Parts: sequence; C-alpha cells; structure tokens
Amino acid sequence: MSFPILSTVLWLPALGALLLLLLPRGADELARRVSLGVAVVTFLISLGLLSGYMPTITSGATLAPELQFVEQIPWLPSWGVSYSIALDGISLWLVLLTTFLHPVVVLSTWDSVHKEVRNFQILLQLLTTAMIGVFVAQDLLLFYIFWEFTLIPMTFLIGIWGGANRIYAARKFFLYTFAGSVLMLLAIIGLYVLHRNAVVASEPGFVGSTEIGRIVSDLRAGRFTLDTTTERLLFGAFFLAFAIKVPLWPFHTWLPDAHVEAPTAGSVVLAGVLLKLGSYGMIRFCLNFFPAASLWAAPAIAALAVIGIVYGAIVAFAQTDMKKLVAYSSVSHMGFIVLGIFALNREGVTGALLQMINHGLSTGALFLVVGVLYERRHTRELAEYGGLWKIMPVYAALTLLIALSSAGLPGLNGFIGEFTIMQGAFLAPDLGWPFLGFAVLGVVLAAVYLLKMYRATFMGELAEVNQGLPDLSRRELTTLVILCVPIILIGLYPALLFGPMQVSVGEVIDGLSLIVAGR
Amino acid sequence: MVPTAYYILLSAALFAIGVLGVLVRRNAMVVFMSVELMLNAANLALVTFARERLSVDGQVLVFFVITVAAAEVAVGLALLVAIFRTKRTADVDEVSTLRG
Amino acid sequence: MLTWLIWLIPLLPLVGFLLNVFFIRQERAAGLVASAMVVASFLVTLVATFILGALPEEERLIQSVAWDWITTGSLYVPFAIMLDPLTAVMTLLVTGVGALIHIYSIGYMHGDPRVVRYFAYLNLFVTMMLFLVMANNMLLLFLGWEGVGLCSFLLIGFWFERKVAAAAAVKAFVVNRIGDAAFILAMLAIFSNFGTLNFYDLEHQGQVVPGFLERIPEIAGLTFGPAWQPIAIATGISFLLLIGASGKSAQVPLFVWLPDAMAGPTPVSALIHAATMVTAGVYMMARTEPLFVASPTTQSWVVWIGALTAFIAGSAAIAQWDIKRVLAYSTVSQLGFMVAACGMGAYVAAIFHLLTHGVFKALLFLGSGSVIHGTHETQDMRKMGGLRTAMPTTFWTYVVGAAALAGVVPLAGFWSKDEILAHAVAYGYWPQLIILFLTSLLTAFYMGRQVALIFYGQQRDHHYHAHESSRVMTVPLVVLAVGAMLAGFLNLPTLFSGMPAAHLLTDWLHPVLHEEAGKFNLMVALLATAGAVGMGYLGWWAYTSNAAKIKVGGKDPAYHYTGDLWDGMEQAWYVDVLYNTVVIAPFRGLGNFLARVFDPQGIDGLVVGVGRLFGWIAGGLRQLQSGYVRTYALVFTMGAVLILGFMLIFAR
Repeated sequence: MSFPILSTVLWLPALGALLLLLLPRGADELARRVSLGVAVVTFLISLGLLSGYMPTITSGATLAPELQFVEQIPWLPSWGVSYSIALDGISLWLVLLTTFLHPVVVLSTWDSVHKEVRNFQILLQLLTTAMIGVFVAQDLLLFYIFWEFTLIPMTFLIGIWGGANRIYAARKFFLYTFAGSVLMLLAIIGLYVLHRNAVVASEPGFVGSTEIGRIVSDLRAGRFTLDTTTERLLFGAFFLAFAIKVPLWPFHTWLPDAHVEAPTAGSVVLAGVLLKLGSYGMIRFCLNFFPAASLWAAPAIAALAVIGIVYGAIVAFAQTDMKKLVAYSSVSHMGFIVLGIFALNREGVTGALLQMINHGLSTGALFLVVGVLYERRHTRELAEYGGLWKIMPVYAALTLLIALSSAGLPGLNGFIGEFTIMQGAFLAPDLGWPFLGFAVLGVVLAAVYLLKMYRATFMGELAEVNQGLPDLSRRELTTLVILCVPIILIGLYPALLFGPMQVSVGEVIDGLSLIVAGR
Repeated sequence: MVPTAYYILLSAALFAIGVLGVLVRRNAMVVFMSVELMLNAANLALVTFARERLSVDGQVLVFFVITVAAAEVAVGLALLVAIFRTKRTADVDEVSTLRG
Repeated sequence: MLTWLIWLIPLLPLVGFLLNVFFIRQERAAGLVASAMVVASFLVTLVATFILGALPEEERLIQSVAWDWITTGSLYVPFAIMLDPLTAVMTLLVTGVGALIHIYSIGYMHGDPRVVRYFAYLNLFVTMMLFLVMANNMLLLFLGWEGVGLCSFLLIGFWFERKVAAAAAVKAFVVNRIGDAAFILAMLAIFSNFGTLNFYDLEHQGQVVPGFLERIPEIAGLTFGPAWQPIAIATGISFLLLIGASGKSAQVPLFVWLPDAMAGPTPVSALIHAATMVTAGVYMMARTEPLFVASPTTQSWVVWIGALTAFIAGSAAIAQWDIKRVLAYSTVSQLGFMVAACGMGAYVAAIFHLLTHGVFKALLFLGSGSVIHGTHETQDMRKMGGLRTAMPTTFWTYVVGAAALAGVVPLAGFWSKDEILAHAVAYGYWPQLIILFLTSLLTAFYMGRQVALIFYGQQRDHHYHAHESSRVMTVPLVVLAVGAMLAGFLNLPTLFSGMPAAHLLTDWLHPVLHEEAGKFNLMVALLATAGAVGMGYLGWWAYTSNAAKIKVGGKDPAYHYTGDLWDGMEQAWYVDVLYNTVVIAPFRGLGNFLARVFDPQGIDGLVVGVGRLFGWIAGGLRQLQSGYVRTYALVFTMGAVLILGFMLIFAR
C-alpha cells in the first residue's frame, strides 16, 4: 500500500488539535501560529490529492476507477463495518474547499478571537477533520460518526465565542440539526438490516455491509430491492436530515441565529463548508440509494427550493443587520443548489456541485468582509455606516468583487454555477420553465439586496464616527485576496472543476435514468 | 424433610416484610436493612429451587447476590454517612433534592 | 492572422484597466495610458476591418476560440469571439467614439482626486463593451452585457458621496438586472431548443459546434405553455430577449434608470449612456434577427414598444431644465426609433441610426459637458443663456449636433431617421409612423429650445464666469462635429439612378442581415425636413423671444399654456412614481412582513413551538418526580405486582 495521503489529510488537523493541547493556556500567539502551520500543511498535502487524482475518462475510454485513494481497514468485521475512505469526483472539490478555507479561517481568528485562543484553535482543527471525514467516508457508519461529530465543535464555537445570545443559538443549532440526523441514523440501520436480509438469501453467511459502494451496486444489480413505501420512508428520513443542514426552506430558521451569534471564523466555516454537508449528502445518498423516490419527490423539493430562493432573497433585503442579510442570502443560494440537484441531470448536479464551491468561497468571503467592519466598530447595523469607499478603497473594491460574485455576475464564479443549475432545471422534464421563472427572480433580487448593503456601507456621506477607520491590514488583505483568486479563476475557467466531476456524477445520473427507463 | 412450600412461604413472608419496611420506614438505616431482607428472601427462594431441581445455577446466583449486596451496603452506607454529615439526619424523606 | 489579431481589440483596453488598477498612481499617466490603449484598439479594429473587407462576402466571418469555457453534460460554451461586418461596425463605433471620449476626459476630469480610478473604469467598460459586440455566443455576449452594466454602476456612482449618484447607480443596475433575468431565461430556452448558444456554426478541434441562428426553422411550429393557450417557442424566446433589450436600451417600461444615470460624469453619459452601452439592446436584436423575424407576434410588440418609448421620452425631453436630462430623454427617444426600426424589419436602418446617433449624441453630451465645465458645474439651463460668445467652439459644434439630431439635411440624423420613416411607409406601419413622425417634430423642438436656452439671450445667473474649454476637450468636439456632418453618407439612398456611393452600409451588412436597400421616399423626406426645420426654429424662437420670462427656479413659459400637462411631461408621465407605489413600496412591505413577522413568528414560531411543546409535556411529567425515594419504591412495587399478576392471569 502506498502512502496513505487521504488519511493524512483527514487526520492531520486532529493531530494538530492534540499538539495544540500540549501548549500552555496563555500562549495565544503561539497557538495561532501552530494552528496556521497545521492548516497550511494540510492544504499543501491536499493539493497532492488534486495532482494525484487521475482524469477518469478521456475520449470515451475509462482510465481510472471511479473511487481513488481508497483506504479500507476492517473495523467491526462481524457487522461488515470498515474504516473505508476514498475520493471521487463528487467529493474531490469539496475536500479541497475544506482544506482551502481552513487556513483562511485560521488567519481570520487573529482579528476576531481574543479569549481562550488555544481552545478555539483546537475546536477548529477538530471540526476540519470531521468535515473532511464526512466527504471522504465510504462507509455509512463512519459517515454518520463524522457527520454527528461536526456538531460538537461548532456548537462550542457558537456557544463560547459567540455574541450576546450565543447559548440560545448554539442550543438551537445543535438540537435542530441533531433531530434531523437521528432520523437518518434510524434510516441507516434500517437500510443495513434490509440489505443484509436481502443479500443473505443469495450469499449465505453474509454479515451485512455498511459500505456505500456495495449497497449501491447491489441496488443497481437488482440483488437488493426496496418496495415503494419503504424506499420513500427511508428517502424521507435521509432527506430531512440533509434538508435541515442545507438548510432548505422552511427548515432554515436556525441558520440566521447561528450566523448572527457565531464569531466570524465560525460563520465562515458554517457557511463555507458545513452547509455543504447537507447538499453533498443529497447527491451521495438520496440520489444514489433512492433514485425512484428522488424522482417521485423531485418536483415538490424543487418547489421548496424555488420558494427558498425567492423567500431568502426577500427576507435578506429587509434586514438591517449585515450578518443576517448574508445569512438569508445563504438560504437563497442554497436553494439554487438544491434545485440543481433535483433537476436530476448532469447539468443540474454538476452545476450544484460547482455552486457549492462557489457559495463556500463567496459567502465565506462575505462573512469575512462583515467581520472586518465588525472588528472596527462592533456593530453590524447598516445605518451606522456609509461612505466608506472614500477611506477604505481597497476594502471597498474587494467587497464589491465578492458581492458581485455572490450576485452572479458573469465572469465570476457564481454566475457559472447558477447558469448551469438553471440550464439543468430547464432541461429537466419534471421541472422546466415555470420553476425557472421564479428562480430567475432570485438572480434579480440578489443584486437588489447585495447592492443595498453595498450602497448603505460604502456610498453616500461618511459619518463622523467612521472618519478614522483604517483600510485593510495586511493580514485582512491576504485573507480576502486568497479568496478572490479562485472566485475569478472559476468564473473564467470553470472547465477545470467540471472535468473531474463528470464520471462520478454520470454514474449517479445513469442510476436515475435506469429508473426513468423502467417507468 | 421440610416441604418446599414452607421455604417458599418463608421467603415470601421475608420479602413482604422487607417491602413493607422499605415503604413505611423513614430511617435510611432501617430501609437498608429491609433491602437486605428482601435480597435474602430472594436468596432463600433461589437455594430452594436449586435444591428442588438439583441444579447448581441457583446456588451460584446466590453468591452473586451476596457479593452485590455487600457492595451495595458499602456504597449505601457511605452515602448514608455523607448525607448524615450534611443534613444531620438519616431521614430519607429529607433527601428529596432530586425532586423534578 | 485575423484569429489572433481580433483578440487584441478587447485585450488592449483590458491591459489599460489592469495597469490603471495596479500600477498607475498619477493622473497624467492614467489618462494617457487609458486613451492610448483605446486608440490602439481602434487602429487594430480598422486594420481588421480592412482585412475582413478584402475577403469574399460569404467568408466575412472570423471566429476564434480561446478556451472551453463551460463544458459539462451537454452544455458546451466556448470562450470565443468573432468578427463579421456587423461586429466590425459596432467595434469601430465603440473604439472610435470611445477613444475621443477618453481624450476628452483627460481635460474634463482634470483635478478630480479619483481620476486614476475613473480611467480604469472607462477602460474596463470598453473591454466589456467589446466582448459584448464581439462575442460569438449568447453567454459571452451576456458577460459583456452585465459587465458594461457593472461599469455603468461604477461610473454613475463615481461621485458616490452624493446620495443622488449612489441611488441612481443602484437603480441602473437593478433595473438592468430585470432585463437580464429575461435574457437568462431566453438563453436557457435557446439552449434547450437548439442545444447550443453559439450564433453561427463554429469549427473547433475538428468538430462543428452548431450555431442556433442558422437553425431557426427547426423550432417553427413548436409551442409551449398550457394547452388552452399555446405559445410559439420563437415568440417566447424573442419576447424574453425583447425584455432584455428594453432593460439595457432603456425602453418602456424599463427606461426609468437612464435619466437618473446622468448623475455620473458627463463623458460617461456620452460614452455609456448615449453612444454605446444603451445601444447594446439594439445590437443584440439585430444579431438575433432571425429569431425575431420568426415571430410576427413579438415583432409587433417591438414596433409598439419602440414607438411608444420614442414618444414618451420625446415629450419628456421638452419639459426638462437640466441640460443633461434633456439629452438623456432624447437618447431614450432615439433608442425608441431604433427599436421600432428593428420591429419593422429595418435592421440596417436601426444600425445606421445607431451609428449616426452614437456620433451626434456623443457630440451633444460632450458639448453639454463643455458647457457644464465652462460654467463651473452648472446644469440648470435656467442659469445659463448667452453663452455663444463665451464658448464659440462649443456653440458651433453643439448647433451641428442639434441639427443632426433634429434631422436637418444633409446632416447624419436626417439620413438615418429618414430611412426608418421611409421603411414604415413602405411596409404600411401607419399608426407607428405617425407617432414616430410626431416624435421627430418634438425632437426638433426641444433641441431648438435647448440651444436657445443655453446659448442665446442673456446670462441669467452671474455667479460664474463662463469660459471656453481647453484644447483637449474642444478637439474631440470638432472631430465629432465633422463626423455628425458626414456619417450620413455611410448609407445614402439612391437619390438618382447610377449614383456611385449609395447603400454602403446595407451592402456591408448584407452577409449578416440579408437586407435589400430601402427606397428613398421624397414625400417623407420633404415633410420630415420641413417639420424639423420648422419645429426647430419654433423652439428656438419661442425661447429666445420669451427669454425674459425665464427665471432661475421659475416655471417654463409654456407652462402657462399647457398647465399640469407640463408637469406630467417633466415627470416623464409619472412612471417612476408608479413604480414606487406599485412595485417598490409593496415589495418593501412584503420584505418587512416576512422578515419581522412571518419568519420569526411563523416559521420559527413553529420550530420553537415544537420545543415548547416538549417543554410543556416535560413540565407535566416532572411532577411525578417527587424526590421521595419511598414513593418511587411504592410505585415500583405496585408495578412489579401488576406485571406479575398479569403474567399469572393471562400468560399461562
């Protein structure tokens, strides 16, 4: 077996957490530097994943297996559970997004976290391991463990380092998302038992398997079938967990609370990666395990997604708190992602995957932008600002770029994702133009609320209290510029990201089209 | 040979006395003793049935019970001492801080 | 050679933009670099156009792919530009007028603290505009389309400290976005029906990527929508594109942003809001002409929207006091002419008018800029008067521009407007013809009024000392004035048989638009000229003879005769007010309701309510937990007895 690079990327942040634990409590600066070092090293190693990821298909010929960097060690062999991790085209970019945002988030803590610095860093590192784990786990139980483990550090990040109402927000965040995932655990057990019972008939002595690939292949081969009602119930249980995490309208109300109370770094992780766990799960589990149920539910889910797009945008427009505005814009944008996934075709799903990356970059950056002002004035009320363009030109320029990327300006990343998603939804036989008519409203409204925020903060007259605000420090500049690079790059050359997705997404879609053909 | 029924009746009587003791007495010390009484009633029944069925399982179980009872008494008395130190009483009704 | 040469055209201004953003910090260098880049781009365009012209007619389409932009599933969009006769014409206008305006800006913006940024924006705008006109597919066109919108936002809001400018900038972007949303939907529909977003067939890496403009017959007869009201797909797509165009080209009902956009610096108004960006909608309609032609339903909408816009804006222009707002409404009105021409199928006439209008309207805006500059930022025409002696060059060039706009023979506006009117006569668009003709009378009138107010009579406000602008500003004026005199000769009708240089533009655009030359209609020409001269003189006479009645801050003399109607015209028929009450206020209300009531109390109330329900249940259950150990023991015993009893009785 070659060097376990994927495990290294996965566990390095956790090891970093251990290392941080050894540091003395008061050594804040040291803790930040160690943390940053671990994050940067993790990112650099994860670049090895990118360069080692083989293009799976060239002019029709399959060159490499769909799952790469496979590592499998038996864990609970009597139940068929194993430590099984791998990458495919669906998880590759999400893992890279996580490792890419990680150093950025750590960098931002210099300005936004001032108490218990070491412990903050420990939780950040643990959170990163858990999130990467969700994306690379190829075993249901392992997936579930990582999935639940993401809750714990995040809850503490909000509950300890958050704003005035932090305990309420943390508790709400924990309970709401936890309630959803408990249902998913039931569904996982149910799926496991049903699968074992079905396969044991043809394969005596089979102890069951929680391997995702195994269950999917048995489903496709017809060795394991689910009757319609069971399939829909299991689908519903999985979907609810993911929908709360995304969050899909109307399960979104934990998000604004969590974002408003969370420290800047927490918000960036939350918006940047944590929400993507939900949409990732929809592709990996809902579409793969329950294609028929997905087809059955697609129009209803797409309707919720479209409602979310418009609703999130309208509510975002009415906010006066910048962070809340960005939080509701997330609801709107995540609606696009769900719409793309449940277009159930290649364009839609690849567009959704790209948009997950885009949203992670743009919204993460927007939270950093809000954090910059918050650190200076300790308020996020729009009415407190105005005319900042004059004294903070660099900050204004970068904010404009980021806001426009979020609003979907062509040439920047957000547009590519949104357009591909909408094209997918337009092509989907079950959705089509009536859905798009409303979805496109979200594009208009995105410009409305983001420019409202921009105008209120940067244009108009400069208030007396804001006269002396300094422009970006070198560190702030670095964090924002790092995020702006992929924002422009993806806008101009998205083919780079679309390429590796094709085969893996194609597999999912092929599974779906089998059902369509049989219908 | 004493008939089995006698043993069982004795066991039942002991058990009933134990239950009543737990329910009506307020002194923690007496409650403990009543619990011991119930355990030993069960032991008696176990030994009786073991003899009746010519099996050692029951006898073995009795040893377990004795061990557990010993441990329980140790913990229980320690608790009792701790409670007495803070509350200056051994009345179980006084120790109701876990009220919902 | 053309395949790489044409990339230079948009990339040169882009280089200028990058230099200005990252390296240049001095005003002088910024202006020089920015102007040089656009001039260079213009020269490259000239060369490319000559090379293109040397090719045989059917080969005049050069496409060049830089890289694959979007490739996923069936979606394939290259990042590619092209050069064909239509693009060449547009590119020449953009870079030519653009270059002059850049040079003019060096003088106009002199001393502004953010002038480097100004030139960066201007360069970026030219880049985006060039991508818009050179794109070989809808998506790249859309990149330019939104890109110019962004630059428009930045430049309108250039003096962002002014509340008016900030509001106008956001308004422009948002109103444009409404049109853009329709544009996006149109692209989705085009791809879904044709499987491509390319305009024309493109050979790339040995394969032919199809172009949809050559495949319009494939969707003939296809419909969508509910069974009781099927809509032809061609109608659906072209109607969406029309909405998109009316956003960008400021047509009814989306024209409200353009007059406000005058809050930006005046050269910006000339370049973006008169000569180039606002004509993008017309360009786009000409480019996708087969789609429009395939749908007579949409075409009739197009004519009506164009004609109505022309009239509404023309009447609004009469009643303005702000020197730039007159020109702004005039621009909207002239755009209405172009759109109406498109709707009548006279695409060449539309492009012709686009070109001439680009020249003379840029001239007028720059002239007004010179006036504003020379009168120390005065824009209210009531404070002007009698400036012809102080600013002779500006005066003479302005008169040329005004006459060209009014349609006086033989200036540019006459020929292009006449072609549109003649087409309307030839194809029997009578009601629209009457509206357009009335509008052209209004046009002459308000230009006469404006010239009189600015340059004749006595200076009504003596707070400033008027002076002529510097050479760097007057030279572009003169160049444009010459252009405004000569541009009409690009496409002269056949005035006498055997005339050599007739229909140059029609012939040049023939490979793209496949149009035959329109006939010259002497009757229309005579009427239009007589009307223009008469109304122009009337406007001039009315405001020079009544000059004494015009007071700073006072009412227009015409108000005496028209009353409230004049107020209506001054407010552009209250369209803005209508939007504020019908769209914006309810939207705010809805937003506030959702954000303050429905979300926290409705949806979140449900969520919190579930939590409360559990809390309530638990509150009942906790009573059982008395804390008395003996009670627990009693319950426990009773439970055991019950279960044992149950087993004894039932479970035998």
